[in-house]
Amino acid sequence: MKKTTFSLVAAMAVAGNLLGDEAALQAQIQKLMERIEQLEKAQGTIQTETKTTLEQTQTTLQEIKEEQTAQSDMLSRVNAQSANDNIKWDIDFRTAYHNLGYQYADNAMKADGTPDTANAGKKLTNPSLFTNRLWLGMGSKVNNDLFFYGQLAVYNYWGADTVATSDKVWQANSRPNEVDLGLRQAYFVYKFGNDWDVPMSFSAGRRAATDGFLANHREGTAKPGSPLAHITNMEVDGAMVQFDLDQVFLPGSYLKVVYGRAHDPIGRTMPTPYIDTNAKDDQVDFLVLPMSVYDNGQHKLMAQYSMIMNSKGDRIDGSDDKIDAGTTHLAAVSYQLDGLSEENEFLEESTLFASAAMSSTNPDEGYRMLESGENKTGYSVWAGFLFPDMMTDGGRFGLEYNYGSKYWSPMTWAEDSAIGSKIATRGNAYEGYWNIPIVGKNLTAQIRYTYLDHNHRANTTCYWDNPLEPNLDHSQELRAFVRYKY
Amino acid sequence: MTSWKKAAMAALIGFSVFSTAAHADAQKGIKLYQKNLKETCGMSGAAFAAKFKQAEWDKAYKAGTLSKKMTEACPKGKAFFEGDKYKKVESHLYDFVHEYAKDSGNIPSC
Repeated sequence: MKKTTFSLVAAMAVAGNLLGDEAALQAQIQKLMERIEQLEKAQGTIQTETKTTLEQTQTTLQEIKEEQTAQSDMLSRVNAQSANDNIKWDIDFRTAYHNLGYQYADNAMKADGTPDTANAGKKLTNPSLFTNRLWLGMGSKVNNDLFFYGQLAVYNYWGADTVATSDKVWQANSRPNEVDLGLRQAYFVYKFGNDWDVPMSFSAGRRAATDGFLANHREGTAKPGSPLAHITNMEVDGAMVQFDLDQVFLPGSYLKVVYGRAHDPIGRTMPTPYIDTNAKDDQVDFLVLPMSVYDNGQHKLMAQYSMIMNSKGDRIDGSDDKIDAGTTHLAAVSYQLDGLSEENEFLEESTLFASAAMSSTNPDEGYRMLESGENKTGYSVWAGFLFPDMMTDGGRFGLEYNYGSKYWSPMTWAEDSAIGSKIATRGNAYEGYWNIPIVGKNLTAQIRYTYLDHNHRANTTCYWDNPLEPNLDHSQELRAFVRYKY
Repeated sequence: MTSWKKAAMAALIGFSVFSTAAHADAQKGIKLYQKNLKETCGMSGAAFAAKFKQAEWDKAYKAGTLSKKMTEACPKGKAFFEGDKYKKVESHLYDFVHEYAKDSGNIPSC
């Protein structure tokens, strides 16, 4: 009986435990089911979001594709229009008013040394000379190391005819003449040795030898041409090798070696064209060495030496004039301080420059230059100051002074002064101008007044005039222009 | 009144009717680069400007992030690009880099 009772109690206890475990298990299963349900819901949300994102991406991709197709079509049109046109043009057009005046000296003399009784003391004026100047710039760049630049030019006075005059080729496009289109610049530049200590460039053609360093201010041009304008301002053809000394000498330093031709008397008549048959008129070649000594954007120091071979003069016995007579040497050192002080806005926008130069004529045996069989040396100084006008944004006033001695004879025939080169003046030259930006750099204006006080003969020929024989007492020009550039 | 004085007066009056607009100057930008950055960056102005295309310089200038773009082109110039002077001359530098950008086709110097 006891055994039976014990077994029953044990069985009931076991059953009770089993029932308790099952309930717990059931609860756990329930929790798991709920968790699975939550996960399924979350997964569904993620799937929906992923699907939405995918659809949006597809839409965006489609839009990009359509845009790309449109751009591709547009590029094709641009390509068809201009890909084979390797010239990039720019325009520089200027219309100017000039008021000119010349006063002959009371003791004016002719070039032959006799008194100029017809003109002595006479005053000549032109109160209304108008000019147009068009420069069509042509840029063509294969890459940064190989490019071409050219400039077609017309510089005419209003009412000029269309017949080419006898103007020399070295100033035909830089001073007012006829309305014919001319070639002012055309040269290519090839840079090489960029990883050398002294990288080099080679260039040939009709070089940018006008409106050089310092003359750019009086022309209202920001960027100067290649040479020093104190001794060189001419349109010339030549070849150039440039040595960049920046890494081995001073910042911004370089040396250019230029060899070219300013005059060639060859004939073009048949049956032997391009032969020089004139024994007294040889080719005038030149060697020019412009050097940037230092340039850090604020301080700029440049120097130049030039030698002109077969310079024109006359024979001492008087049998010939305007013929090969000797060699001319020219040298100049020019300095510019651009921004006098960073502390003061007025001074920061101001520019100061000074330049000294000399010329030396060396006639051959039996010949004269400047009416002398001996070497004659001329000197010149040039100084200028530009400062903000305080009225316009970027406008500046400029004041310049030049002095040239008795035998001073630079090569500045293309200087853009209707009354003749002011830099070549043998005496004192005074100049004031106002450069005015009207629409930024695209439309500018200038008013300029120049007064040349000639102490000696006006310097308007090569080397066959005698500086000691006076002609003009003074000359003056008022010029006002409006200039479009784009 | 002499013809000289008349001409001068006419010219002055003529020019006084023009109104001037604010502008930046690429040439000034080149000089600023030469003066402040050429030595630091160790490259010519042309090489610096050619680091990016015109559209890239444009986009940065319009977004007001040109200094960052220039720092990207010349990391050593960061101090200058973040300085007070840079803000004053930014428009000139922009004009310069835009004019001589990689795809500008413009020729920097002869």
